Amino acid sequence: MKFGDQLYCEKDYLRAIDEYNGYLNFFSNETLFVKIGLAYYEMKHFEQAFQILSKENLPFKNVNASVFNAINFQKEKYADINQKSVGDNGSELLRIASLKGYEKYYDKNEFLSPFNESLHPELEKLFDYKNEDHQKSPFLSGALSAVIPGAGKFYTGEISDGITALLLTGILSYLAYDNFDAGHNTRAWIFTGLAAYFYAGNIYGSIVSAEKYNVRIKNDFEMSINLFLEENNYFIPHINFCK
Amino acid sequence: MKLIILILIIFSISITAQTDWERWSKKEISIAPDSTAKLNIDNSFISFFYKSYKFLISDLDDDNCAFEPSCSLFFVEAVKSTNILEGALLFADRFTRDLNVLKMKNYDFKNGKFYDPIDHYIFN
Repeated sequence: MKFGDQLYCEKDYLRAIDEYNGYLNFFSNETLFVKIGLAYYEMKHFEQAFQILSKENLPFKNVNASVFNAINFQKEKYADINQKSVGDNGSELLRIASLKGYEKYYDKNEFLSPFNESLHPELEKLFDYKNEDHQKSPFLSGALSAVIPGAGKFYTGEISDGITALLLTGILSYLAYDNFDAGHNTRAWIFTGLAAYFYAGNIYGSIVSAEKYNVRIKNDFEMSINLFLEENNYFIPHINFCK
Repeated sequence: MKLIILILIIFSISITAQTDWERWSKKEISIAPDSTAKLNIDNSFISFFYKSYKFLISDLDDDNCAFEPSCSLFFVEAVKSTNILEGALLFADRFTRDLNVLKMKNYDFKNGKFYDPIDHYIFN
């Protein structure tokens, strides 16, 4: 069992589980089930972790409940997160889930209340970001490009694309006008068609650009939430098995 | 105005033109599978358009597109993923991005080119 502990502490979880299972063939030890469950959890083998930690009469109930909550959170089953025992991470994860769009709303103080004060500045930033509107409107982006080609791209922060669109549409339009003026109707209609095509393409591109912007900021925000949770190990209470 | 347009055209051509020593110089051989090889083009009109362009223009002009997938392949994939109208509009937008020489550093790289697949522009 000591060798299993050593492997566990070296994060060699798969071999640690083998060692623990070997031990459990001959002896009974409830704590080992918890270690095996945690090892599976660390390896992201959620089903096995869930199965092992669901056994009755295991010690560290708050840890097991926290692991269940962390698994549910990572599977985005926010409705299954709850406070099952004293000292688990249910209230923390429910609040973080609200940042990801889970329906429950908290005011700022209520949101911060279960967390350690050292985490408040980072959490406040996430909370404020969630409650501010950072999205770009695809409709507005398209409308801006319809008025001034490229303006929608400016709006979504793609400045050089906007300049290129403005120049391209402007040049083609001018060439169309100039050829009409000079009586070269065939060339003029070709340039008119090209100008109209790139004008329409720019409007559509601006709408897509706004949608892309929204997806990107949503992903960035969710990534920063996940990073925060990874850094804090999903608020699973720490048991020091590696003294 | 004509003079300005002429200067702009000459300037953009001189920036993006492929010079002879680039065309014939030693190139790193990519062992990555050809992304066009797997392409299954169902639409016969698009297939005809794409193959004609490849045979008559692209192959003769060498591999010049700065993007991966190339603009022509982007068009085909855009039409396959959406419809002919949206695909054509997405292509116009891609072509505008292709002309933009200022933004190039913001792209990821794949096979030594700027990675800009159709998946980045379709959201469901």
